[in-house]
Amino acid sequence: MRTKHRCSRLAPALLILLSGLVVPFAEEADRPGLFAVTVRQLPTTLAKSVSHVAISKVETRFEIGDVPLPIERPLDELEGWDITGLDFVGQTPSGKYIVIAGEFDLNGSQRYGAMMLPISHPEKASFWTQSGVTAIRTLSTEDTYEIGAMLHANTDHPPQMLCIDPSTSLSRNVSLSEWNFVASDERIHVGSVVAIARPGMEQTPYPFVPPKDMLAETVAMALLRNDAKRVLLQRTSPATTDKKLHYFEYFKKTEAWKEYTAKGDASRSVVVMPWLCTRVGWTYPESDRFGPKFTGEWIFRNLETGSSDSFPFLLNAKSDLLASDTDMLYVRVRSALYEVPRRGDEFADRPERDWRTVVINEEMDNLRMLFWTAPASPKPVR
Amino acid sequence: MVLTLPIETRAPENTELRVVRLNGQPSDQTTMETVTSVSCAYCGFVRLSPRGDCVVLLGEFFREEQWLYAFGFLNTSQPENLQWYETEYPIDARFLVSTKIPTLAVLRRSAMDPKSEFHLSLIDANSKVERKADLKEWVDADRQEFLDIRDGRLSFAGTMIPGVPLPCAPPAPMLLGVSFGALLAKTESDMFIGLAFQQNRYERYIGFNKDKSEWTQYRFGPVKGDKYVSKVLAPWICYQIGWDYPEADIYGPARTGEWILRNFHNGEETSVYLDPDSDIYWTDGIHFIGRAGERLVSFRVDPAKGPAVVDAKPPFTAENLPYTRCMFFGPETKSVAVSAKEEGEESEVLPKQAVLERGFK
Repeated sequence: MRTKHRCSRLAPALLILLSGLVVPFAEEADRPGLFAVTVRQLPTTLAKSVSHVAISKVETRFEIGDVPLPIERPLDELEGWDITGLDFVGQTPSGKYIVIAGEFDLNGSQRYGAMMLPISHPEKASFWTQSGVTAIRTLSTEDTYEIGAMLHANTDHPPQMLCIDPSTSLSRNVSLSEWNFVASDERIHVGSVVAIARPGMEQTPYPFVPPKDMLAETVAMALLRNDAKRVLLQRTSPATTDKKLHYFEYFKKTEAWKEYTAKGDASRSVVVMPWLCTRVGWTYPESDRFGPKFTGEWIFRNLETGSSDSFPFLLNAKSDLLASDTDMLYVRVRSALYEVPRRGDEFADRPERDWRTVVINEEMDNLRMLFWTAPASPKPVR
Repeated sequence: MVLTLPIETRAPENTELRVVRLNGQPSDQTTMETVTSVSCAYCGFVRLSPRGDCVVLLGEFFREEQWLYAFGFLNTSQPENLQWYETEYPIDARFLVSTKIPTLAVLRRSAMDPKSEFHLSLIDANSKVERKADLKEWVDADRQEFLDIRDGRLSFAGTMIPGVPLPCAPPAPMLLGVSFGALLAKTESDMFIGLAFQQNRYERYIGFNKDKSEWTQYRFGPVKGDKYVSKVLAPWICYQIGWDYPEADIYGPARTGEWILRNFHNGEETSVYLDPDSDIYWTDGIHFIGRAGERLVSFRVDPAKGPAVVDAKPPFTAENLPYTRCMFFGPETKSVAVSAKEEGEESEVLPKQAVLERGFK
């Protein structure tokens, strides 16, 4: 596999820029296509895990006559970085940027920061960092400053917050309470004050709190999604009281809350818009050592329609859901990526008959995210 | 009746039973050759004889608008020569452990009357001659049987030979407090029995060595996991650990990948971690060959050194190994495996030399 460590080019710049570092990578634009974000764990003796995060072009299938054939070949790695303590991989609310945050190894120097990749031109990645940054997330906002950075230089000073415009890499100071508009990947502590579980945020009430009767047994929640229409929370502690996951959804337009559940006391959730997908999992006496038992069943709920209906979808237990659009779901099973077409209100569940192989490649085992570079209409991704 | 196959009329939902052999020396150039292949509606039955000299499989065929069953007998020294023997539908079939010539004991019952009595017959795997036998000869079959205590003696439970006592009785103190039991493994020389104070939880293990006429109480404790399965690869009994959870009846138990191996000949115990989807096919007592996912693996056990470690370099990797049911070594550097798989799938086998030279160094 071709691996590039573009960050080594940053060394001279690092010597003269102490904060607000922005380094664009100017490359020729590649043709539009399907791209993959892969995260591969590297062997290390460090206490923190080190991941190789790569952006790769996925060569989709080719055809001989009318016969489509999957490609079996290495992915073409466009960019790759070794990141210590990978903290966040996500997409901005506008759908225009991929954000990867963690400690980047920049020519021997570890810097926490964010790599920002324009969906339309992923080869034009830019890196943003500043001293004291401890967390980076995307924000639920219609503003162009759609990335938030938490700064917490030391415990003697309260944290500060910046927001960043990925199109210009400019940043500006904002009130710490703006962190309450993080779009996903946050934990919320339920105590006398319901607040995001980060140092310095304890007395900053979270604005989207389910009614007390819904929260009766809840100690902690995970923020799955905060977008223009909704806030979706999942109870994480206690994980289950009735062998079910509990979800709390807030509809911003009607200001109403709704609670629903999905089976499994070790189930996992992922939002692949418009779907809330629950991977059904169960604990057993040795699951702490060997991991939960995933049955292969996924339960789908359409967040856009607000329908209370959910439907099961059976996949291989070693599979993952990557992306969706109106008519298609993209599923990884071991090293293969498949297109799963929609059939009526559900998805086609006969792999041998209905699924199409996009690519077969060992690196697919590490697939974290898919995106398309069609500039006019970037497809929604997870 | 010995049949000449393939039978032309193919059954719906065909499965291909294939016997394959590796050619050449162990290397990347090793090739695989199908020596026998037949399509049938597979009955899920493959058995290796206790001495490793014969494999029997059961095929189900559809001919002239009726179902037909046939045992396929394979002499492991001549794997090309798979001979089919038509049979009435069998309830069960097992090899006898005491006979020098591989002998298959076949249990049948009237299909019209499921409450009718069982009938036993014995098929000589070499001559394919079948003769009727007394049902009590089922005692000699290499199968696991539930036991209970009757008149102070361990006796067979269940519906086939209920009340028939074990041919040799353990000393009374070994049975103190025991309510149930199970004959877990049987070879020409050994019997391995689990004893339970409560149903389905064996807490005491005893064994009988025929050569020494000696009963032994082992120090084995209960096997962990409430949904484990066991497989006998003499002199070892291999437990694939599994646990129950609310949907285990639909999706199967939660397998951890751990196997507990107990030697019922000398009382040693060890373990190995393979893969939640795994199997163990063959042992010579020290070396093992198994499957971890789609990877063929080998390992060597030395209970004094703790859990076994899978060899870093497997004999070779192969696709579709999960379809393999049984492995054995054939004649001189040629090896065969009997696989049952859907039509169009490949199967895989390994040569003994390949394992010994590549996997067990």
